[in-house]
Amino acid sequence: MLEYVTIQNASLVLFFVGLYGVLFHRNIIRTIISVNVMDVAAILFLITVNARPDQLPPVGPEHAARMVDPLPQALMITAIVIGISVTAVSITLFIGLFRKYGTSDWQKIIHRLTR
Amino acid sequence: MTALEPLPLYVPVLLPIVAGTIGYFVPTRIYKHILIVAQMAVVGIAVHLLAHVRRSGTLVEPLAGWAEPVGITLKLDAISAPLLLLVAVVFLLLFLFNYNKLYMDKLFQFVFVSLQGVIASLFLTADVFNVYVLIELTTVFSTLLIMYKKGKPALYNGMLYLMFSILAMAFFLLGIGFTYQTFGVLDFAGIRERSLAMTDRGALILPYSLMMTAVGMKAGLLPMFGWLPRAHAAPSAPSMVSAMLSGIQIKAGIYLFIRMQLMFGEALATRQLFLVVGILTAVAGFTLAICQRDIKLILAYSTVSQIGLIVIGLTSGSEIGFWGGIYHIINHAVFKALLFLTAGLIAKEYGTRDIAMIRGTVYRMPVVTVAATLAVLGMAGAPFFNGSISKYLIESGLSGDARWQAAIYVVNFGTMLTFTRYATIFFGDPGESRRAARGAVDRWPATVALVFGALILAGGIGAGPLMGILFPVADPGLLASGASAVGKTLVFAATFAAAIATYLLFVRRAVVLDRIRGISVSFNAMAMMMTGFFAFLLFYLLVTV
Repeated sequence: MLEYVTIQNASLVLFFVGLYGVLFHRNIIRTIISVNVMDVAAILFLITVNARPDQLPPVGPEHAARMVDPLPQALMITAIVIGISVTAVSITLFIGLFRKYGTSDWQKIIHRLTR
Repeated sequence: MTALEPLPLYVPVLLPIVAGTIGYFVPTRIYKHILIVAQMAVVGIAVHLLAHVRRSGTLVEPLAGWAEPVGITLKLDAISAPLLLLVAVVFLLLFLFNYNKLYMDKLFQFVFVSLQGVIASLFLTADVFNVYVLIELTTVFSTLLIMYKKGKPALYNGMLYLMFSILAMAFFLLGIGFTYQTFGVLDFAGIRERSLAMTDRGALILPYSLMMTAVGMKAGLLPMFGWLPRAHAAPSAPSMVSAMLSGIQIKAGIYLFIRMQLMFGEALATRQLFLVVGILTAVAGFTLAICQRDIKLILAYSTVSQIGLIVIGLTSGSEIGFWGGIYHIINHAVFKALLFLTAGLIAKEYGTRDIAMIRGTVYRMPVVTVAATLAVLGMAGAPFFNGSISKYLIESGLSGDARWQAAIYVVNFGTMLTFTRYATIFFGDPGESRRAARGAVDRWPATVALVFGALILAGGIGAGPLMGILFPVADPGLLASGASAVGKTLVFAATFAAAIATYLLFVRRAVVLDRIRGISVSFNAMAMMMTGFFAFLLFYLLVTV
């Protein structure tokens, strides 16, 4: 049983928790947070690819043989930065949206648009 | 001719962005000209690179001295070179079209050329992580453009598009994770090689379905096109933006679809599935297009149906069908861009976008109407227009099976029906006095629109030589052979007559259409459809592989 409790599986669970939030919450802020959770889960998953607990972080010239695979780590720094910027954009947009419509509910905005 | 060294591949990516950044410090009047010159240069470079690819094969360029699979590599091959040229030409024409529009301020132009660079680099990239980065970039730039005139619906459309794209890209990122875990590489060629060598096909399923869900969303495949009309026909978005999104940006999604199928298509049998998805997308697209009253929404939904047609061609499993699909990508970009631009002019002149309120554009805006008619004929696949060639190729790519061909006839019929309805705005009584209105449209955009129209005709009449230049097709002569021209014309005329009859008898008065139009899908429902697509793909592959 315990061998299933790995960081990778935890990240998959996290991904689907985020997906649940996207599917079943109508609040835009919650959508933004949920998508972020999914993003983080994917990043967590990628970091743990090819990684074992006894490995060292890929820093400095020593112990090159015992280091963890550096490629996912490098890529995920980029992914984290992208995640932050995209979140910033969506929150900025949300503020504008909230000022115009006075609600943060996807459904209510549609009703106000079609009316 | 002596073989010149090809220019570095990053030039068409960086040139617009650098020109946009440097030029930002000069007055707007000069800025516009700098960008137009830069775009002309990009067109020249794209031609030059295409010539190189055709002569000496794929161009590969590792950046910053790191070789694959660690470094970032740019690649230009027979599929991406014509598309790079397409991007350059359409962006240049769009810029010329909007030469003296008021909303063309510096920021708008800067975002627009940056997007051009990013889209160009999407066609050049050779690994999946780069794709992730670039798609996120295009998403942010497009969102800014969609809501540039900050109207009420614009904010909602921008928000919907942004959230839906980020959601899809979360799937893509997890897919990248599984890909890296399975293969240990992220570049297209490496993944393809290792997926073929893989004995356990089951390990490919999860990375493929995760990434394909995101790519399918970007391409606007069947259950996931809800965002497309909202983004492409956002009421307050400038028509230039609609033209760019529908003409070029959606094609980046299709291009990724091609890459995905090239990577995994041989190891996982998904051709039949996407053939069906393509047909369903096309049918759903034109059905919804017929229901709309807003002329820009009609065009946006017809994009969905044409995407379906392109996917049919790409998954037809024959070489002719495949290149027909690619040719349709190019043709659709040209005539859909022109349709959106003319629709923008017409909507501005009449002050409405309701198809029932616009009548007699041929009297009020003769030149624009001529251009729009050319685009409609290209769209409908009239003989001698570019659409007829690509549709014919897609059809002959499926010549082995009568069922698929029948499906294509249905799609073509639907397209004609849509545009029969659309063409009603050309005729009738223009309402106001003819003399007062004539000449109100700027000569300049109308002229550029005619250039677009000329491209549509050239793509039809000169299809043989043009395809010979653009694509490595074995026998371009065969493709555009005049042998079947009479037959094609007859089929077109018959389908067209049927479309007109159907329109007059049924569509004009149908109440069902209003019902369907009234359906609006919320964000949660769209996300549910996407999850459904993912789950379906996963189970389909688990059962079949």
